[in-house]
Amino acid sequence: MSGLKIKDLKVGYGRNEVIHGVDIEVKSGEKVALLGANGAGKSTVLKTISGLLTPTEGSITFNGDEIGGANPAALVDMGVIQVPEGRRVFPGLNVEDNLKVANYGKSPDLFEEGLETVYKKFPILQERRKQAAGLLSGGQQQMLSLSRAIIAKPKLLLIDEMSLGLAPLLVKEFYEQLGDLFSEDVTLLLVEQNAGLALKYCSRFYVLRNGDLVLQSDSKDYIDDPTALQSAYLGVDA
Amino acid sequence: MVDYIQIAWQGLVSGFAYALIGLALVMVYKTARILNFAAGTMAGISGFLAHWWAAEQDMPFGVAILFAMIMTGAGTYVVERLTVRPLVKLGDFLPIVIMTLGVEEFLANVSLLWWGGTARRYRVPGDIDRINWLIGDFRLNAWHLVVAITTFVTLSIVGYIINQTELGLGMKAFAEDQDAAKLMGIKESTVSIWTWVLSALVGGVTGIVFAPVLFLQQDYMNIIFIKGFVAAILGGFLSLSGGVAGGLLLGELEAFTIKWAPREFAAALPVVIVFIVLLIRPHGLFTREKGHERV
Amino acid sequence: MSEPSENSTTALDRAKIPLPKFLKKNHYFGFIGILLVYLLAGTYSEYSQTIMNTIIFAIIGASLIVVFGMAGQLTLGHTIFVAAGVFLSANITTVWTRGLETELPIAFGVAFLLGLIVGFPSLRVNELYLALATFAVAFVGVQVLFEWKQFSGGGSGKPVGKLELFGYEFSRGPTLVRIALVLMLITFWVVGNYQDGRTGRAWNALRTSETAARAAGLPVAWLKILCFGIGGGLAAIGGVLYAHTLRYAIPENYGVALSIIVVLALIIGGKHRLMGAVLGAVFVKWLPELSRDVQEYEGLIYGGTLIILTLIAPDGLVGMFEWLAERMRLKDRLERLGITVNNSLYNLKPFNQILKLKVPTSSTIEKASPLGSRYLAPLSSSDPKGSLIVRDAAVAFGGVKAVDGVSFEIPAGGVTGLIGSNGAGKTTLFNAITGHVKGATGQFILDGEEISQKPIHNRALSGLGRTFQNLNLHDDLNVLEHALLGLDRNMKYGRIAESFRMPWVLREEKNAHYVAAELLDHMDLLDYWNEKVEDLPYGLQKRVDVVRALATNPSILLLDEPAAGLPTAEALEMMEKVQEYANHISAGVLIIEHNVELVAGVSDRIIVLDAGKTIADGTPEEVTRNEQVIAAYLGT
Repeated sequence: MSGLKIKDLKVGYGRNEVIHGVDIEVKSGEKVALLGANGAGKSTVLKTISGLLTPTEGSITFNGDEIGGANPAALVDMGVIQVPEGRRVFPGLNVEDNLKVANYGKSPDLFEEGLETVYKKFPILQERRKQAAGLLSGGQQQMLSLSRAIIAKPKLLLIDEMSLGLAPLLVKEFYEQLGDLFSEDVTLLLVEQNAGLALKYCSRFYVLRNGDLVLQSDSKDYIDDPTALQSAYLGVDA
Repeated sequence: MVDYIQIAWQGLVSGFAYALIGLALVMVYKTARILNFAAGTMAGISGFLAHWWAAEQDMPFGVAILFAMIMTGAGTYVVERLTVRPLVKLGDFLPIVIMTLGVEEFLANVSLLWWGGTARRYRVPGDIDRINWLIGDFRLNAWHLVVAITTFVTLSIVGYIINQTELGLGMKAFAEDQDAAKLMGIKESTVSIWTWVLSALVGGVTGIVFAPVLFLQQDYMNIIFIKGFVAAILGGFLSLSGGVAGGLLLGELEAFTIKWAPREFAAALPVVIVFIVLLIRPHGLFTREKGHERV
Repeated sequence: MSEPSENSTTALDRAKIPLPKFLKKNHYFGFIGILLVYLLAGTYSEYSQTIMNTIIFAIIGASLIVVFGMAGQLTLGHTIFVAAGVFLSANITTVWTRGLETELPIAFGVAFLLGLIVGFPSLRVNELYLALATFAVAFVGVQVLFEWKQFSGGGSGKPVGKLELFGYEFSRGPTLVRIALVLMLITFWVVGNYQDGRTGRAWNALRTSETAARAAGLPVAWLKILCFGIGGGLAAIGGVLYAHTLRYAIPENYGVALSIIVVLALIIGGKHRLMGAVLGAVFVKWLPELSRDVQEYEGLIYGGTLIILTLIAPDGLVGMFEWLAERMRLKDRLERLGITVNNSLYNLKPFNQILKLKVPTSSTIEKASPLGSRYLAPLSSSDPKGSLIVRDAAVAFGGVKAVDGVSFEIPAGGVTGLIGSNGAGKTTLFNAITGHVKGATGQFILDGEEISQKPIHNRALSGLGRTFQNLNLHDDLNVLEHALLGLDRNMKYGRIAESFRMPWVLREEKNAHYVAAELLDHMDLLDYWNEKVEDLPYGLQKRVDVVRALATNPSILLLDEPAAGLPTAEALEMMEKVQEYANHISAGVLIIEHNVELVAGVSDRIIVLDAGKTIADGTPEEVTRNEQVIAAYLGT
């Protein structure tokens, strides 16, 4: 069994259960979006996969191995890489150090190689490589955040809300570049509030509302009219 | 004029001690948000071990220092794993502080039982601490020079570790954003333990090199610990270089206060400084205020 | 759970909530204990010294309960108050040749003022720093004392004069023990009264969540400083006794070591209970009496005990006993319900996990609405309040404008929804209105009164009641206490009256209990009044958060995502109750919510924020059809 498989996942903060039993499957190499309004629990699912949160119930397997509740560092070694919401660059470290952190515990040779790739894709980062990441613009920070993932060589890539706080045009560019940044066989689970963008890039999607899955479908059924998702998002009929 | 230089030098020498301990405290606070109340006593034990081995067990001075440092590192490793680590998962810092208080009480009594309560003075090789050079009217003690050199070497090594090694990078990343650092594959427990050990080694060096200056008394490092804390406050507690600068500044302030102010006031100086800094610049003298945090 | 009986008229009676009394069971036990020691003090005079030390440590422990146990401020500088008592006593008895009648008030007064100063850093730094800052105070305090020879006698110290009271001289020995016992009784009585009164409740609240305590209208800054004042004053009383026991005051005795020992003793005993202060004192003062070996290793034993207790029983010896007793009660309760318990006491899960407490769906028994009860009816008002004007509100984090010039007016008594996508600035706007975010600009006018410049708790006192997205409950407090906390805004009795539990204090407390019970009944929480909030399921916790806000009798209620994490039906039912109560007191309501269904259902009007700006404002129908709103939500 290859790819990511989530079964009956329940997660909570303290006693507050926010994910009430969710099943998600992403086959190897597939690109899938997890949609929903803010507060639906999308980020919680992602954080649980990457090990920042521990599931209260259910299982998460990746390529057949149970990874629910594993240490984030161990998951990174397995190739489970998350691009966190809000970019989360290390503001006080310079650009190159930010990238170096993504290579933590791995060989410096690999890093040189990755660095070359990154700078080819985003020349602006090379230009600013000695500048503190906190001084970069939002778009540049997103580039940096994605670049860290490139360096980490993901097998399973989790991207959390790339559109947050960025100009729409910029976000569109990022989405168009995604296929170019990561190799075809990377398995991708993408969290996004902006349905229109995500559907163009992913072949399938799930919609989460208040911690429950309310819809799953192929992108092509909705791609011409994402507004049809409104009722699934908001729980009201338009 | 020479008077002033003499006082300034004196202040600088004390400042070195405060700077090193300030650095050690900030290091752990920055990466793990923990304050170690046993830090002073642990540094004191390092100093004792080194001088005791050298003077009473006839070990060569260098070997004694090496052994003491190894003991300090190993001891700290054990203390962190046994007492602090089990509490970190609870996510509440108060039990950890109380735990380090317990460790402090325990270790202080261990050292008290071992060495007793009286002050001792051990000889250092070649009696360097008794050599004084006169440069014009300026008096320079040889051991103070050793202190200065040791401080610079220690600061350089720590600077190298923090800025040039992967461990240092991990520490910095962890201090800036714990979750993001974990997502990059940095292990919390590894970074934490090495930060503790490094901090204890810096403390140990301070303890060893200042023992001849301060007399070896059971709690001789506690006063340095407090002043190191004041140094850290001056530096804003989140900046390593701020902690060092704060230490040097405190040393100077103290030296000049002792010269002119009444003794009661000079004794109260550290607390007065803490209160004034907290009143006017809670984020420290050398760092800019951080952005507002969300509720 | 309690059976509602037909005869009882008030919610308080139905739930069998005990009313506050002048004397409680603990008072009798304590009194009997102290009396016993008092009577035996003469017989066992060879132990006078140890008994004295135990009493002094118990008094100091009780004073630490105020600072650390209740208000949660870990202080390591407590010995400077003890030292103040000791050296004032030495000076007053020798220089002025006056007795206890002068020593005690002056020691208390001076240490009180000293406490206000020492407590100051607690306003500026987190508890971690504070511990170190007070540690520095202790360290430096003894050095200052050492140098201030006129007052302390320097290194050789100062003798303490005769033990006198209004000119009558007493022998030391057993008589001193008796005097100490009386002082201990008074100290414990006062600290106990705080624990049962509004100040103790407020301290407990600020310990567990400062943010929420402020939002309930509590003057957190003053309360923090005050705990150091009172704690310091009481510790100085211990100091005066210490002076007379030792008969000689030497500065070096009052250094960091003593500071650590008193904290350690209290933590070992149990920092939340007066009994903990006694147990801790007994532990550190009687253990060394056992044998010479023990005496030699006492510091090791204390340190080791603390290390082990911190790992296994963070609430000390008393906490351990209480935990065991609670488990036994729980087992009993379960067995009476017919649930067999196979697990050992240690592995027993919390009650709610076994019973799977559920949020009550509307109660099956027909009952009179609590709103019509004797206690809630007077709060009814037909005069709508809570008109809120927001003018050019703006908040920036770094360079990012989270709220960017929002203006609106809410008429009195209306229900208004505030929606918007992630990062739209809703909660930040809320925080700007309530004062929970620094650096907010713009004007906020509540019922004609400008509140923009006021601190958080004064805005709450002006009539802003709020709940929190992430709840912010007070973990160690039970449900009833949360309601009482909200009611604090309308309590009048002073803190001195509280110290001695004057009749009007008791009267007001009783009345507050009645009101709180009715309020809990209204929100269907009455059955759970005695549960700690951390043991409740999430849905009930949300209601507790709401009750606390409602209890302040607000002009306008600000609800931050009341439905988040709840099934829609449950959220709707809660909102219905909230609205009913808001109508009852004619308060306005402003709701932030992601659950558009819910907001559309309850609001008269909806304001939509996007990227810190208002993009729509109108009736629910208008807003949900608005193109721009749909775009903001779906991002097309």
